[in-house]
Amino acid sequence: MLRTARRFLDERGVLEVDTPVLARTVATDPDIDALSVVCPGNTAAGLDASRRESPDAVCSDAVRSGADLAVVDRAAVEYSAGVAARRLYLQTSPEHAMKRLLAAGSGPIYQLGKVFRAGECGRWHNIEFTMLEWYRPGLSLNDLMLEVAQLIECVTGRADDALHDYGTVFEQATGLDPHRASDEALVQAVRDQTSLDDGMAASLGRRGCIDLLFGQRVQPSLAGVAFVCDYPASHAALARLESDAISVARRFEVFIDGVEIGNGYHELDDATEQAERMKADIAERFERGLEAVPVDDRLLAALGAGLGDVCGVAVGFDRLVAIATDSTSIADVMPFTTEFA
Amino acid sequence: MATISTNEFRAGIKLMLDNSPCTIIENEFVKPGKGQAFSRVKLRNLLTGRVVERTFKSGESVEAADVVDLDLQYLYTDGSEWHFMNEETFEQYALGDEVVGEASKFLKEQDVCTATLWNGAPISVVPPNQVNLLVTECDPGIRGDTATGATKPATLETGAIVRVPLFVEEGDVLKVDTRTGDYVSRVKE
Repeated sequence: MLRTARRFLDERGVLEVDTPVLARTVATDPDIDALSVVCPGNTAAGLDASRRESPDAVCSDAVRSGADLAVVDRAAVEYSAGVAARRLYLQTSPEHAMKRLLAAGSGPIYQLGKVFRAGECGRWHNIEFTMLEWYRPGLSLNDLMLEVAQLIECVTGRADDALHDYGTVFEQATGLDPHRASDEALVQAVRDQTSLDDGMAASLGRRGCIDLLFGQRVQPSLAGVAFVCDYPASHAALARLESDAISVARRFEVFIDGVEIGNGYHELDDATEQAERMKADIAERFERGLEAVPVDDRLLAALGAGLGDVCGVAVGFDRLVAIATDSTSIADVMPFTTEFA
Repeated sequence: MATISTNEFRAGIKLMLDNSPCTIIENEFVKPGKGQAFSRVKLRNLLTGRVVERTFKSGESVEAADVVDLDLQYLYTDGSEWHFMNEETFEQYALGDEVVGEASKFLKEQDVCTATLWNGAPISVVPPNQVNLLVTECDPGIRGDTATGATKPATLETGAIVRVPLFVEEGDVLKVDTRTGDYVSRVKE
């Protein structure tokens, strides 16, 4: 199936790339936990140990003091002699590196390889998993959805695809319009319609309520290969926002038999806005007591140079293989899950 | 008060839910919409036996339930209560109807059963998988009566009624599967 997927994209003129899994920076999304390693440095003899600060401390200080994000660069913490130890991150998706390639004029590219997300283990999750991610300059989101449908058919044989509007299926399943419903109405719906403890509903936030309701009420009702588009604006992540009467995120997800398989976006091509979102992420991480992560200044620089009109999609390949083989868990299609590695 | 975090959730873990002790049957990690993570759990209420579903935010802590399983030997019944003893400590327990329930049909004196205790008090008891019981009442089988699948009802010393082959007679000792209530075989005692 790996070969089939590669051939599918090769035939369409999408170039395979292999970007680094280890990097100085990582996605800032507060809901994604990245793994990191400390690479020992080689400090010159005689450097006073008490003057040495850990990279983490430097970063936290910078965040707390509201320093310009371009300055928060752990790798740049160099001492008068020698090179400090530095923290490198295992990538949670090849997105940042691939966007830098796109900005440099790579044209359509794909990557099929391992990514890492800490704390994610279960029937459809593993800390280490295989992601198929590709970017199509010039293709519309609809065209990309079509291509994803074709790839799914190619790899799994499933051709029972359908397109749904997020707002419509959400309202059908829950009775609420996710774009217009009030925060209170959503919290009440979580209490009434999900199995979350009533006391916790208020702590989810608007996006959390919508996600949970979608996961428990809408997702199970999506049969076959279901594409869902026009997500609420609160789910923007790195996507472009429409400027219509209601804001919708230019985002789609594809589910097979209710299992989330892929996530696609009309990519954001605005360095300023991207920096704003990253800053908001960092602030939220700090508020939630999560580990601070550095901002990818090189990605911001690339966006500054211009990404162009690009749509991209990421597919969980292990899940695709599991669905294709009628397995009930990705554990059945991996030689060893992290638990047994 | 001990607490358990969702990352420790496994099948078999006992926790408190709405003031009832429950055991986890299944735990699923989910992350709808690529947002916050949740644990979707199937639990059995140890008091009512009913299966319920609950969703927790990832990282949430839940109160652990003080539930242990203990081997207790069945001693006798005085009609309203069933008396058990811990063979090691000689501590005795008097269990009422709501704890023993259906298990009373298969309790045989001296048999060692598994009792579930919550906060030190028994809430349920399970007899051994198989038990040997005396047939106290049954009609002699009428040869040729194969319409009923060649079985007839027999009453055992505990009052339980099981379907047995036609050759079984009063006074026979039968081995019975306590989980299904089925006849297994005759035994010589």
